[in-house]
Amino acid sequence: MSDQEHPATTDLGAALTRLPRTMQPERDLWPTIAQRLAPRTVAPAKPRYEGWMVGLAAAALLTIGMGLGYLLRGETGSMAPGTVASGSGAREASGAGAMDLANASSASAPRGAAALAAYRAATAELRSDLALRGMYLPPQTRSVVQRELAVIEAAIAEVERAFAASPADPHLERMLLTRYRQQVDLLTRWLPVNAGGGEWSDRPLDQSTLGGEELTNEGA
Amino acid sequence: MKVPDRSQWVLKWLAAALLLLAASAPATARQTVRERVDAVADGQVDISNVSGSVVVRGWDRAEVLVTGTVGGDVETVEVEVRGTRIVVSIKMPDGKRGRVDVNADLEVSVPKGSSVDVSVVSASLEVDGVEGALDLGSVSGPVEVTGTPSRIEVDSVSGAVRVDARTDILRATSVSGLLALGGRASEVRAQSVSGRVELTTTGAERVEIETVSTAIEIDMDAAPDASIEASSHSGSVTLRLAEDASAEITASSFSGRIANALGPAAERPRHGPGSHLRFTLGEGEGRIDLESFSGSIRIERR
Repeated sequence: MSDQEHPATTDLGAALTRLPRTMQPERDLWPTIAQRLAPRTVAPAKPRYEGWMVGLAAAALLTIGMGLGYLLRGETGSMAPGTVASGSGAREASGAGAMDLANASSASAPRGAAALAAYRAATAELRSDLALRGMYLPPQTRSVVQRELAVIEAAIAEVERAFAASPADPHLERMLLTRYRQQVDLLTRWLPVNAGGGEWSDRPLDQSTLGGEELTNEGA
Repeated sequence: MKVPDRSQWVLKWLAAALLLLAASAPATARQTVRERVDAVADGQVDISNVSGSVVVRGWDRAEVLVTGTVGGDVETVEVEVRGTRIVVSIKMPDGKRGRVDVNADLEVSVPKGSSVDVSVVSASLEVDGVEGALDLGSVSGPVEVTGTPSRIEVDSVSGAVRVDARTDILRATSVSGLLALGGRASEVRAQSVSGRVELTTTGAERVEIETVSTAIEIDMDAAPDASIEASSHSGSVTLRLAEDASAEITASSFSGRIANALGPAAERPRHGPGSHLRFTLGEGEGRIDLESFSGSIRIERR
C-alpha cells in the first residue's frame, strides 16, 4: 500500500522511513577495519623506509583502527556503514531482533556523533601520512587513488554541509558515516602501512623503478 | 637550416638500426617457463605477477602446472611448495637496481578444488574452472572470472572486473574500475568510488552495493525474498524489475530526482529537503532500499 493513499501520514511515513530500524549494529565493524589495516599483498614491492618510520605509522594506524572499532562496536543500525537502511543485514548480523523506533531514534544521536568524531579523526590521521604510505603504489596508481580520495572528500563536504543544516536527520548522518567509512577503506586498503605479505614483499625492488609498468585506468 | 645529404643518410640509418634493435630485443629476451609440482585436491595456490597476464584454470589433476613466458628482467618463475600451499611467484635477479621491467605471461593449472589467491599489478587476470574460494587483487589489470568457485573476493584499483560465475558469495570492490557482476550468487556485495557497477547476477538473497560518484545499474532476477540495498552519493541508481517482482521498495534522495515507473511518485516532506518513496509490488516478499544524496534514482520495468 503506498503512502499516497494516506496523505495524512505522508510526513510521518517519510520520517519513519529515514529512521534506523534496529538498535543493534548490522555487522561488527571491527573485523573489517582490522583486516584492512593488516598487510595486503597486492603491491609487489617495498620502498626502503627506516624501520622506526614504518613502526610509528603502523602504531598510529592500529591505534586509530582500535579506537574506531571500540567506538563503532556497539553502534546502532544508523551507525552501521555500508547499508542503505537496516534490512536483512541487521536481522542476520545482530540476531537480536528489532527495537522499537522510538528507542532507536533517541539512542542513535550521541553514538552517531561519537562515530563521526572517530571517523573524522581517523581520516585526518590517515591523510597526514598519506605521502609515506602512498610510496608503496606505482605512481600512476597513486594518482588514481589520490583522485578518488578527492571525489570522496568532495562528497563528504557536501553531506557535511547538509548535515550541518539538518543535524537531526538520520538519513544524512548515515550517508556521512558511509562516506567516511569509504574514505577509511580507501586509505587503508590501498595505502597500507606494510605492503608485504606476498612473495613480492621480500624482493628488494624499488617500486618507483618499475619503469616497465603501464598503469592505465581500465575503468568504466 | 638545411642538413647535408650524407648526414641525413647517416641519421636515417641510425634510426632504422635503433628501431630494429628495439623490435628484436623483447623477442630475444623472453624465456619459456614450465614448472610442475604435485598438489592436494583442495589446497591453496598463491600467485603473483606484475605485468603481462595470468590465466588460472581448474583441472582434474592433483598437480599444479605453470607454463608461459617471462621477459624483461624476470629471471624465471618460482613454484614453491609449503605444505598444502603452493606459491607461484616471479624471480628477479638479486641486487637489481634502476628501472625494472617485470613481465610474465603465465598460465597456471590448479586442482579444481583449490583455493586461489592472485595478486597482480597491471597484468590481466583470468580465472576459470576453479571450485574453491578465489581471492583476487589487481591494481590496474582487468580481471575476468568464470566457473563455479565457492566464493569470490576481488579488489581492484582501476582494472575492470567482470564476473560471470556461479558462486555463493561474491564481493567486489574497486576504486575506479568497472564492476560488471553477472552469473549467479547468493550474496553480492559491491563497493566502488567511481567505477560503474552493473549487476545482473541472478538468484541473490542479499545484495549490497555502494558507490560514491558513479552509476549503479541493477537488472537482476533476485530470490523472491531477497534484500537489495543500493546507495550512491552522486551517481545514479537504476533498478529494473521483472513483471512479477514482489518486494517492498523504498527510495530516498537528498537532492536527486526519483523516477518510479512502477508505482507512485516520490514525495517531498513539507519541511526540509529530500524525496522519498515507499511502495509495494506484488506480495511484498522481498525488500529493496535505494538511496542517493544527489544522484537520480530510477525504478523501471525490465
